[in-house]
Amino acid sequence: MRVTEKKTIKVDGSCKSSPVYVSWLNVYGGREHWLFDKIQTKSIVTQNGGSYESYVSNITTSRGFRNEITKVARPLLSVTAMVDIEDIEGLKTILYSVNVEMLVSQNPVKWQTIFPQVGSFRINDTKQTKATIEITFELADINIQG
Amino acid sequence: MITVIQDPAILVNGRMSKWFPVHQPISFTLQRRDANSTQRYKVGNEIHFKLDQLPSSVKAGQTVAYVTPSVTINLVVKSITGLYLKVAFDPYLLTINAKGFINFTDAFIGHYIETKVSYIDATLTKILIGTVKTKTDSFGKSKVSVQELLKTRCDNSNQFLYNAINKKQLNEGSGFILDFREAFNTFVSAYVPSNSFYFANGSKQLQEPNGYNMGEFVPKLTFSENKFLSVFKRPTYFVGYPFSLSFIYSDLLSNFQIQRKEQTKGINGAVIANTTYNIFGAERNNVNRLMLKQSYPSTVKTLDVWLESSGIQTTWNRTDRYGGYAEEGTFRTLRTFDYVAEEKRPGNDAFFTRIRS
Repeated sequence: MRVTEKKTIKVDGSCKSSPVYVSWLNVYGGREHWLFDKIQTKSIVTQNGGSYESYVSNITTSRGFRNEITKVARPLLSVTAMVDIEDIEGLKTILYSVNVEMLVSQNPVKWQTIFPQVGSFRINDTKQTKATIEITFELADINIQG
Repeated sequence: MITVIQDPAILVNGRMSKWFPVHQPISFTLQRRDANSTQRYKVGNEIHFKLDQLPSSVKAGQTVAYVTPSVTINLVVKSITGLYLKVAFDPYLLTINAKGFINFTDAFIGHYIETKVSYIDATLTKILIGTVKTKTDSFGKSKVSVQELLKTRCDNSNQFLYNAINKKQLNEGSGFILDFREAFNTFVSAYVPSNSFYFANGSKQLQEPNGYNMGEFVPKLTFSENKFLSVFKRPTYFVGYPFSLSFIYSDLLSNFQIQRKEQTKGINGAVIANTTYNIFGAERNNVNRLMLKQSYPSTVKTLDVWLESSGIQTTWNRTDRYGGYAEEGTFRTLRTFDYVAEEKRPGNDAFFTRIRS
């Protein structure tokens, strides 16, 4: 006696270049998984954490007046997926998930929390059968002196 | 006496779904009923109520509340004889064609209801999260919402190690039990436990079926299209990467061995293989992760996966207990308010309203 729906799972065994595997919490409390591949853009956002000027007694030997106190550095990772509309419906939920994690180790399974950038997104037209979704994740900040 | 007159469990496809999204209201309505009125009639210029109990703290001159399903009337006690409570004649009192009860609003000073909220941990032990104290309204009713306390048990991160066919995820939901008691004057009643209910770390959307209830995601033997907790129409399994499907391993499957069925298909939809594996029954009554069999031949392009009951009764039916309290079936809180019928006193004179039975 069947007690759940028959869930069809697509099996994707193709070779992936530059894979980024993420899992996220959906609104019903379940966990979703997706593998982004091919094109990713890495960027970084940095901010100045303040600087100070020191007293220079001998300008001929001084290395400069300005010294930095600290910096903020937040790596960004943009991923894209060109997929069927039925997958877009699931994939776009990543944009408003409260917990997204990126796989960093397979054995044992290890995750790192990442944060989809917030904003408004144009995802697809109703006429399309395939669409491209691009998501930018903020990765964990780099720990810096200061 | 405290009665649960409404809980958020609802019937879905013929079975009681006791699973709720924890980020939305999980509310129970309780009612205080101090004494049932078993008789109500006119004697001279008085109305007499016969009650099933009348504590000595109730005195003449105090106000009591006569509560019926539609109206609450505040009455001043004229005198008391045994179990008879006498008030001034009011013809309106005799036109009420419903059964009622009396709350001693003056005599029971500082009356409140205390609700203990406990969750069920990994070892099936009942562990207290916190208590909620509420006052009752003029109908003796009080609404207790417990989601804020239960929410503290949820953790959004992915704790599954992808090393078992199915595994309960305590951070994604679990069972909970409420214990109710009332207190007034110096009296504190004993706690009365509720059934076990369950919560999941989710929320429902506007106009979805079943409201604030996870009903459509709760597998039950009477309906075969209960959903997995996935927003994808057809999720993708990327070979070699950790994959799981989330589902509610519900209390409604308790007595049967549950199996994971898989049917793998090739590129043209032709069936390649069917497999059946037993899932772990000890993981039930929680939100679970289900893993696929994996290691498919490269010809497999899609597969159908579902859960099935083998129909075989298992030995772990209703034997596990939550900190001394049994699972569904052995204890039940009242779901509908049970008004005790008021009767005509034999040999009573004159004016008497017929009470609907």
